[in-house]
Amino acid sequence: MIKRVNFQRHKPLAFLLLAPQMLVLAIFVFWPAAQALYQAFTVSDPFGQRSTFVWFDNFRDVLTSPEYFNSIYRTAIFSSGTTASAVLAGLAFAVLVDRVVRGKSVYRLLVIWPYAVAPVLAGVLWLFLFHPIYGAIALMLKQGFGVAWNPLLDGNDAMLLVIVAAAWKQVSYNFVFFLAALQAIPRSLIEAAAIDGAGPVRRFVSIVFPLISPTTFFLLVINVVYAFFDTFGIIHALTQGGPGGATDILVYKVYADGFLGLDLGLSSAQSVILMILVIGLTAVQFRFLERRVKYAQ
Amino acid sequence: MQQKEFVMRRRLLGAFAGMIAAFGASVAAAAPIEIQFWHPTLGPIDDALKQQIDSFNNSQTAYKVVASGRGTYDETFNAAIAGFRANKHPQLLVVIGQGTQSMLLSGAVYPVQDLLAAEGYKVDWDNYIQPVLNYYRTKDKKLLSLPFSASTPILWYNKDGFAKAGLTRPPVTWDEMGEYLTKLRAAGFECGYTSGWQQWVHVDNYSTIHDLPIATQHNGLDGLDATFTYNKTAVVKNIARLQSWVADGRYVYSGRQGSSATPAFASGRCAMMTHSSAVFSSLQASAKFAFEAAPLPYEAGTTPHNSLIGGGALWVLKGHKPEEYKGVAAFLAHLTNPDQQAKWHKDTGYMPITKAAYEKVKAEGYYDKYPQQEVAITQVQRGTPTLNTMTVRLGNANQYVAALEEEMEAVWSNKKTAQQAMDDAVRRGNEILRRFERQRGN
Repeated sequence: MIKRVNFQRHKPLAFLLLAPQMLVLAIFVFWPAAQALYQAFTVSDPFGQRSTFVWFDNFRDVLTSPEYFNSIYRTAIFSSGTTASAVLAGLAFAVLVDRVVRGKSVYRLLVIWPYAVAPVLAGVLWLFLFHPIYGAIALMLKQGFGVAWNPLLDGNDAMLLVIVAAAWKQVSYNFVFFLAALQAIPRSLIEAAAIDGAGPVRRFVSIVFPLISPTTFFLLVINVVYAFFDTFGIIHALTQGGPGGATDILVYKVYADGFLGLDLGLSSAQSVILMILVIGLTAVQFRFLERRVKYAQ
Repeated sequence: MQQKEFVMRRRLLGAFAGMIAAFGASVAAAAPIEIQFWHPTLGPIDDALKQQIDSFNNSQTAYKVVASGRGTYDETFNAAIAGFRANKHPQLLVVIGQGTQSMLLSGAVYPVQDLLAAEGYKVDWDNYIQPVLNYYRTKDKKLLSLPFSASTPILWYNKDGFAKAGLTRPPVTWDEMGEYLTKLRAAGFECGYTSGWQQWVHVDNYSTIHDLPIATQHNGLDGLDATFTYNKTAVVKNIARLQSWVADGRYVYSGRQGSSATPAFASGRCAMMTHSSAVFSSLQASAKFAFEAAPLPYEAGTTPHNSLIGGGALWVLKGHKPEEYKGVAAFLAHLTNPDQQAKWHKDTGYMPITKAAYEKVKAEGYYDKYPQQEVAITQVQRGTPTLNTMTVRLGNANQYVAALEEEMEAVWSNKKTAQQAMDDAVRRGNEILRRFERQRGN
């Protein structure tokens, strides 16, 4: 039984109540998106002295560059790596904290903490730990364990570093949602399974995981969007897309061409392509993954 | 009676308020004209900047320069563009040298030389260190902006480390440097050499020192249709040599820009470093060993030319009131007087831009104590400037530099040969230059 409010007889009131939110969306989402769409078809100088409509030239410049296809490939690795590790770690922490009896709130606070750190700051923190020249952990790896850690030259090291740094921030968010979902599972179900002789693993696989699948699906979508759009600050602080383009993900190119290079046309064209990619990806997720989600009993 | 007294009081109060208002207005009329000065926050150098501005503000009452730090060079530039679009831009703006072409074509600039002439300042430009001004001059020698935080890359070396390896003087040629590095590695340095601003050192300055073109049209000075040519010069050989040095630890790559090369050298890990002359003050603060500086090495059998300067320049922006420009001119004149220049040079490690300031510092005997500080000044004056060594006037520098650094990383990690990487960097760079041309309506 889902409770619904019906506005059938009070349509103007419904629109009135929606208006503030729509206004905010229009100013901060739709208008900039429309601007980006328009700018994607123009070439202009940074000072806004002149702007020429060039049809699809910006898109042609983007799509004929071999570096752009490298960037798509890197984005695929980065996004799947970040999403998978953030969701799995969030789930693992939530399951563990859910089982803790004493000091639950302390653990909870500690895991939520990273979410309050700004992405650029997070990047700088990780840099201070893992920079091969002055990073404390990098030195430990090298001198203590003989690991030739060098994200400045090794593309895999660099990719690993940005994935961990980007996921680290998102683990907190996932943790909160997973913990809430776990706590919403009726105890009676778990107890019944236990009485029937199911061990912890079996209980998790057959009962807990299916019951939190709506949350998992939601987090999957949110995390993919995060990895695609919100990670340029971390990349900028850690690798600037290097070494040799190994971490040059799409959103960082948008940022670098637009906000550092001040080529708004090229940057907008890339963000339009990125937007189309993410819309497509989200549609695919809803189409194929959502089928396996069990929403209500 | 009471009523009357109240009215009286009110009148008195009114008169009093009127007096205050009039007084306030007269104060406002005499208040100095404010001049906005936007600059990047340069860390320890900000104190020296504040002292410069205070000394101007205290020297007269007509104008007040209000400095405002806006983050990195990029962020400062972005803020100024946003300001310009909203007609809220400052009178004075510090822009990094690479941004010269963008500024020149922005339509937002009041050339410094025009401003000073219009305000009646008779500046003897010959009294300036010419290669420093050249970077910011147009084809017909007009100065566009005033070099502000000017520096050039030089070779820094660990003197104690040299003694340990039995070396008594700095290397002169790049091949000699290779031999030095082998000895320093044998003497226990895990890193022979590292570099800040690798592209500035190994492509731009390597080219000018050997009088090689970086791009056609005299490095872009003569036209927007310039194309890069450094993949056809000795630059490729230079990059290939560095690649071989990476393999045996003689060269250790410490990342883009300049921030991580300094700690690599200052911690004593690397025996040599090529970096901006302006790292002097931070090395002085952090290095626990004797360090010296020398001019950048060059190829055996060639005569070295001047190196290029970099760092920030002070631009005057259009669209302000005539009386404000009088103040701007007075401020620029103040900044360039020998006392201010000498103090700025000694406080920060940036170069003095007038010969008078240089002579003054030299006469004080300052360079006997700090010879490191003189290296940059003599290096930018080596040889006769040619059209290859005057400037690099190419647009969208931020993007083509990033592309070039990416390709250089591909060399250091052995993904590409020096030739492949330079070819790719030139191809990408040329695409970026063509976009710059289109952005300006060509």
